[in-house]
Amino acid sequence: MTEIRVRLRLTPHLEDMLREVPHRLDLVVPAGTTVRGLLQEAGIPPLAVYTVIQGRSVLHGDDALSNDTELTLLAPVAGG
Amino acid sequence: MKGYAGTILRLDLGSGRIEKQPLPGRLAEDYIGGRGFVARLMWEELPPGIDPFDPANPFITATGPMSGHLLPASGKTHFGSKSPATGGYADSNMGGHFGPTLKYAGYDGLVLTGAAAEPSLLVIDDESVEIRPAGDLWGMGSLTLEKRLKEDFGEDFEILTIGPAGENLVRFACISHDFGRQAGRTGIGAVLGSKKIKAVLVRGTGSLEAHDLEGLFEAAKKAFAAIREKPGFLGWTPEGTAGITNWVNEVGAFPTRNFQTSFSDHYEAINGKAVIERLKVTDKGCFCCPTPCGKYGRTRTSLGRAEVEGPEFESIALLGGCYDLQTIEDVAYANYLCDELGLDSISGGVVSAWAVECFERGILSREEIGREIRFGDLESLAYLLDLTAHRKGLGDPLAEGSKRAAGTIGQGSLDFAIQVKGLEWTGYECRNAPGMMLSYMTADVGPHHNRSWVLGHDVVGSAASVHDLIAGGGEVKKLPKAVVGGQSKNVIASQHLRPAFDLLGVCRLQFMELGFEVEHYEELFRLCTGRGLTWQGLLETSERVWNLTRSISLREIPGFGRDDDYPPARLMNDPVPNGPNRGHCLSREEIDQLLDEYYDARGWDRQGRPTAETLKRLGLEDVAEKLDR
Repeated sequence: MTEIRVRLRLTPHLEDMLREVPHRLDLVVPAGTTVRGLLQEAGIPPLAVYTVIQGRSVLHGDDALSNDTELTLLAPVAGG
Repeated sequence: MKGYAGTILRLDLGSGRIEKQPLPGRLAEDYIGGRGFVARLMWEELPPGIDPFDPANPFITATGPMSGHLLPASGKTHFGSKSPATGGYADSNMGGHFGPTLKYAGYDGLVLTGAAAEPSLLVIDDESVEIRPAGDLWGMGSLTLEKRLKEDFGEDFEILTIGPAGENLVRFACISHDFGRQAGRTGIGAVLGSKKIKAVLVRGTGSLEAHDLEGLFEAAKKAFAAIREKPGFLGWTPEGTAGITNWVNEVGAFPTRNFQTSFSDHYEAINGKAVIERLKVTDKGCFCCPTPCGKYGRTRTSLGRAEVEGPEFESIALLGGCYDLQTIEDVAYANYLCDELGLDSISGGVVSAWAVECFERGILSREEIGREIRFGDLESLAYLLDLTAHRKGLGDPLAEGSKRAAGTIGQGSLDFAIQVKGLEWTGYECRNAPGMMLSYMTADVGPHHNRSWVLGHDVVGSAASVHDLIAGGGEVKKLPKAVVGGQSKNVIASQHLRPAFDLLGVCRLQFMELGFEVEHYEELFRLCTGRGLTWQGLLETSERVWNLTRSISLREIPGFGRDDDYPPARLMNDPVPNGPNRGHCLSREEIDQLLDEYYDARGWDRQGRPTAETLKRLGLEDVAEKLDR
């Protein structure tokens, strides 16, 4: 099974929201892991994250990760 | 006074008298700018107790000290008046380029009183201020008018317009600018219509003085660079505010079918991805913005084609959720109709959805309406919006807003009119979100997300609910019932934080979305004005303004208080029927607990009146004295 390395970057607002929630930012997971699965593995409740960004793209919960990558997580703080 | 233009332009539209008043130093020191100027001028200059459409109701435009300087997102403009929607304090703001241009013309603000004798344009061209007849333009749509005026006057004029809704005094008429930017809320466009002003044009060729121009230039360069380095900089812009649609639906907060429920099955057809893939032609940004969140695009529907900015999240939620339009093309077209007619797309969606529910329940007949109307049907929504903007037939009561319309039509329809204080609710359903519910209930202008937004904290909530969510496997089967208690601290902090940016004249999104640090704002403010302002000092000023705006509504609305802070009956009595929050709602007792905790934390009495001690603590001794009388 191929494994990939994923680094998570949190905005300051998300760090603040998760300050009492144990979580990890550097993970090694099987290739094909979905974004939602990755967040669970990291200990980050998926609903605490409103957008997951990879480069210039927005990822969704069912998107699968196939290569080493860095993801940025935004907190739901701003509203429309 | 560095940073500011230094002058307030005053115009009595009845007499034509023009006054250029030096900006009072005390006003700038105590209220900073923007929303702060609006609030203080309203307190001092609004004759107590008048009707919102009385010519004496001042229409105030205000910029902030950072507006128009070359620093991130410094394009905000604020408008204020006595609200046609609520009868209390009102302000609404927009991005774009109007405020900076007004400052380049030499003015920090504009105060209009009186009313013109005939439909008119107000043309401000640096020193020159002129009222011109606009009879041939009366009746024209907002977007069409702006295009026409750009052709007639030139691209270097920045323009505010109202549409037919503003002319016809629709209580949720908006002001439009820059082909898609709106000061949408509180009916501010109807105040301009009552003064017979169809458009305001400004050209400014001057410059602004800064305390330390070279320092400001260097600091601004660093600020732009810092924003570019933020996690999420590249990824947030593509969808803008529409990017939150999925999340709001997944947490069971998406207002659907007149807030009958909070979960939509077709959200993927109207989300941010749909905007990008099916509508977008280009990104569009406001003055000096490094993160252009506007999406300018084209739509094609059964009713025709249109070019439109957006839809942003709120229009998606209230037109695609609350009215249940099924495709992003239909949502964009309805958004275009609201813009052209000069209607707030939020209230327009909510009022129209309320009318559909009245029809479904047999409260309004096909004969009274003039045709069948249905959720999800673009043609019936277009019909209702047109009736409303022109006050034709059923449109006349609808133009009064859902609270007044329910008062006219009766038969229990007030229970499902989704409003507080007479202003319609925005895009977040709150039956299992007590913090967000409290935010809406207590927002000073009526329920509005830009005053406080704590839905994320509601969802993450206590550690217990976090672990419940993780244990649920990430799939949201059902969220736990929210625990009521302790929300007021977060709500009050948010009510001071979000409007704080409205004092400075900058957009909040760089801070809110990307975490742009507060130290930049402190430094940029100092370099603009030469005055020191800590972040804490800014928040204290924001608290002063919040208590002042509450005091204005207390003065203006007979009997105003606690009863005006309750949500509509539907959101207290009817459990959510499906989705992640099915079975949940907040009881009257829980709502009362929220209010009691909030009033106590604010230093207000249990009727929602700031105590004299609180007002004095905030430097509002004169307000305390007048309210006491």
